[in-house]
Amino acid sequence: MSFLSSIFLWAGLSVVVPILIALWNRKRFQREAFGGYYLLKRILETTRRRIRILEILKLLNRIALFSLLVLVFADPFRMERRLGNASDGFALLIDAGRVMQSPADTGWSLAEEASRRAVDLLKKLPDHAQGTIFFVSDRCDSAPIFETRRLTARASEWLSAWELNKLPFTGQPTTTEGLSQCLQKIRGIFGDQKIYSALISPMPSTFDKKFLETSSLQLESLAAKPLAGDRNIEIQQEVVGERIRIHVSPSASRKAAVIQGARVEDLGNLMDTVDLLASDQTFLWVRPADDVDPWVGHRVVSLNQSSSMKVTLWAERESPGYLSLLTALRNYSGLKVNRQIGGEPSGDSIIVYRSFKFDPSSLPRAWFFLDYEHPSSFGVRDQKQWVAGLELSDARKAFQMVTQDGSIFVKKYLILDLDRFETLESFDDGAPALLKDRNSRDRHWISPFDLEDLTTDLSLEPTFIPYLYRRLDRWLAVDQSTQSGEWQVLWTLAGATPPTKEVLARQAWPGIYIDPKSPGLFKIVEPAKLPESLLQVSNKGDELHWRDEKIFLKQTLLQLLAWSLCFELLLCLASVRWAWIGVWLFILSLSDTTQAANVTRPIQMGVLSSMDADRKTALQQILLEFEHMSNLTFEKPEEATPAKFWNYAAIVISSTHPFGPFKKEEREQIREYCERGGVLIFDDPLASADSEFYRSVKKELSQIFPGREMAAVSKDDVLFRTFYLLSEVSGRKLSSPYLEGISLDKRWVAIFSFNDVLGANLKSARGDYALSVSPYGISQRTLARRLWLNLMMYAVTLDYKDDAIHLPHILKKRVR
Amino acid sequence: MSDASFKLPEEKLLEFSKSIEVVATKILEGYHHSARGGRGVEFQSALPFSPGEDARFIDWKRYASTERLYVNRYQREERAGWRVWIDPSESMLYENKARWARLWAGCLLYLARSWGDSWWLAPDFSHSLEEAFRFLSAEGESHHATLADLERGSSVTDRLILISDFFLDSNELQNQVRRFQELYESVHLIQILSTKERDFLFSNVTEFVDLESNSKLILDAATIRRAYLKTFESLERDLKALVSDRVSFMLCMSNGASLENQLTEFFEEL
Repeated sequence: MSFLSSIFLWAGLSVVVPILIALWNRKRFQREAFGGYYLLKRILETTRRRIRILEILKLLNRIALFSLLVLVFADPFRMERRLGNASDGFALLIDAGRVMQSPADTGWSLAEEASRRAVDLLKKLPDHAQGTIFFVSDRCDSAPIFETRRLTARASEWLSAWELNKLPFTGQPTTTEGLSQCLQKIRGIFGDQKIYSALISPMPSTFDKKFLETSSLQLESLAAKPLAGDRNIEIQQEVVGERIRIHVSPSASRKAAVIQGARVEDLGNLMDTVDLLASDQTFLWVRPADDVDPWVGHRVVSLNQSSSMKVTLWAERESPGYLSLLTALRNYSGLKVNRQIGGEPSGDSIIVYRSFKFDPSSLPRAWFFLDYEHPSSFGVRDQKQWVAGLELSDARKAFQMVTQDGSIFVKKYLILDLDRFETLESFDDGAPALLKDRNSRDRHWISPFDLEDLTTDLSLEPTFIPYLYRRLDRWLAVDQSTQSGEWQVLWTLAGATPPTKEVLARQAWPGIYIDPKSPGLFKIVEPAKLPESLLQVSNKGDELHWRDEKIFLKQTLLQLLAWSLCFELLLCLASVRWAWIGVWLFILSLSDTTQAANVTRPIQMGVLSSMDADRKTALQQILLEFEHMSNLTFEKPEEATPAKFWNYAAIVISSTHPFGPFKKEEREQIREYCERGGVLIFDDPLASADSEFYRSVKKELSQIFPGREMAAVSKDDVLFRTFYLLSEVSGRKLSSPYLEGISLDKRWVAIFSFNDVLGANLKSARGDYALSVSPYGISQRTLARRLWLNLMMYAVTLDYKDDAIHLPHILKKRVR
Repeated sequence: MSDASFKLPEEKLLEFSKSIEVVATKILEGYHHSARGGRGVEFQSALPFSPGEDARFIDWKRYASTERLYVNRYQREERAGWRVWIDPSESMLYENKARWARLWAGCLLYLARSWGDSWWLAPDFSHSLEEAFRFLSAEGESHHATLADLERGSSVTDRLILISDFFLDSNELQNQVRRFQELYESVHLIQILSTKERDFLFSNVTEFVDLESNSKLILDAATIRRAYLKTFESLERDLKALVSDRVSFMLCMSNGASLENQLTEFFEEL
């Protein structure tokens, strides 16, 4: 241990003070021939030992108090080795998939082991480094441990907020797709910065080994016990009168529970055969009694539904693909498949294979297997035809489809994720998130899927069959819950870590979910299979370099000092003199001038109450991002009235409604705010060159600033170099190549953007961009973000970058 | 050393007697003869009035017929007996506890004599009040009569007054009081304490010396204060637990309220 101000250590001699005081007190006592000696004797009979201990404790505490005080002033620190790679940032990816519920070598679950490993890693990271943590399963989740939903934080902040039961471990398999999503998110946060990124996982075989080996991730493999493998239980049903006889094989004692209605009844140990009285919505859960992994071997069987499912497989003409699909469907247990070639499709549930000529909207419930080569009324040819439709309010489910003859067909559809068919993932406008919505319960599903290109023996196809069966489960369940509301948990399987609310909300945890709006309607989520094996992957990540970092112990010492003072207060209840001295010394030790120098105040932005809710969200999101992109920190934007404008660095207005009209005194307040340094920033959410919003702004500003007109902002203006060196404006749509504004004394007091800059940066709840940008995609979005940061920076620093001192550097950059 | 140390025994007796008389007269005037709790009074005699006597006892009817002032004297129907015991232990020597206890006893004897009741003071004074006062005024003198000795010569018409700090074993005292209840008409526990003993007004490290055994303890008074007060409360609780229709208890501070007030309170509760 070293000290920043070791001179203070000389004050350590003061520890003798309490000892001397104690000795002095011993020598200089009063003498009292006391009448109540009898009582003292009685006390001492019982408390002599306690009093002695108390006196010793008092002395020791006072010595500790003096020592701590001296140490606080001496400011001790120790050198610790920290990961130099993480200086510019870090990203930890933690496997949150099904495999993490397995036991680790150490006896803990892998989830707990991963949590510990993450904590160990966080402790090795530099204190100042900002970083993020993601959880990988079949998707990429951010860590919900911060209430503010911050994506990045210091390692110490992550550590303080770390709680195992708040981490989103799921029951889904961990996939390369999920990992790719995380890497994309990391790139979105850190850009091209070289950061330390590590993957903590037992490396299940569901990962692509090559992908792992070629990535720059530091692989932190968790040692796991050999996976239990496939321990499937065969369950057969036989109807005997009104009862259903269940045969379980291999026959052994197994634990089972039966679910009837909303009631779960534990059946205890179930031998090979059991008779159950079947009623509507009765399910049987069976699991081996000796399983180590709590989820291995679980099976669920519906006691009366399995034979009632009927599906019509329709095609215009028979083809090898059709026959393969038919075979695959017929192999799906409990499903009766009617074969229909040509004619009007009949039945309630119809699977339509390839092209068709009838009106699809007339079908009660249909699943279309379409291919790109054969035109149909949908005419889906490539992914670019799938464009988020603005006409319907719920953009998640509404899509606009352009047919080959140019007609537009708009309807509510659910578009499924296509597992490994990643071409659709190349959308850059949030469409992948829309395609991943699994909870939609619409009547029509579409799979752009060319079965003819696959092997004709689909029953052997390893990619398609699991996909088909998983979707069938959902599709058939959807049938019963067309108009259902939110699902609630009826029963979940016990796992090594409890599921979080978010995991349960998206039904990513095995269990039974119930729809409260439709009594008796259940959804069963079975445990995913454990991966077959674990990969042996060699670590190809960057070479780790370490550097020493000073870890100051002052905070810890202050905490100890506070405890010591509290203890002293307790001991000195009778004699308060010591307590007062202690309190004053503690207050003195807190007065650290270096901390006072670090006090900063976040910037407060104001918005008008008429601002569109999603643009307000976008503003909030983008301000949060700016904290990582610049040294600015922002408060959450607040609604402001003209009288309160002076509280805010800038007022942001983005609305489809007209701006104003304001009363005379409000106009004066706005003018005064602008004259005294405030800025009004307008962003047109319709991205139109001549919207009603623009006209209202123009009209209102002409009354607030009489005699002044909106003028185009030159590309050489300081606005384009307050932070980023920009040469173009940007936004969701490029409807105008300029910003417009009103200037007072060579300062812009009102700035108008026509291109919906906030809309370009609006993100959905899942973290993907909600709206597409056109025509330049990603680069246009990045420019929009940079332009907005420049505007924010302008609101704070004004024309600071016009100072001559910046000129050489700017010119140098321009030359490049 | 104070001047009182040089006083002759006779001077001390006189001073003691005077202070007793002052207090006792006030009690007598305030409560008349029946205030001590007698069961009834009987006319004894009428004597000519002399100046200084209480005008309330003048027989005004007789004055109307004879034009001479007479004062009526009454006598109790049943005589009561007062047996007084002062704790002889050394702890009573703390501050002015012993003196206070002796004043208490003196007043009680004086009043008993005034009322014509029989009295007895440990170790064995029952006839001459002067002798009893001589014993009480002699500060160095003590006796060896224990509580157990009070069982001898008891009478069911007598009241037993125990004046002590009661720094005794509670169980032992309880047993003794139970026995006294069978032997005496009533038992009155007068606890004499100094303020320091009640409130433990010490704050520094102090060497406490036992007045009885001279043993010593060095203690940080601040540390043990709470424990002391707790133990004191426990002692008081034990003493109050002895109170019944035939046992009374009273705590008197030797440097607290005046003796007259304490006696008044005592007789009011009789």
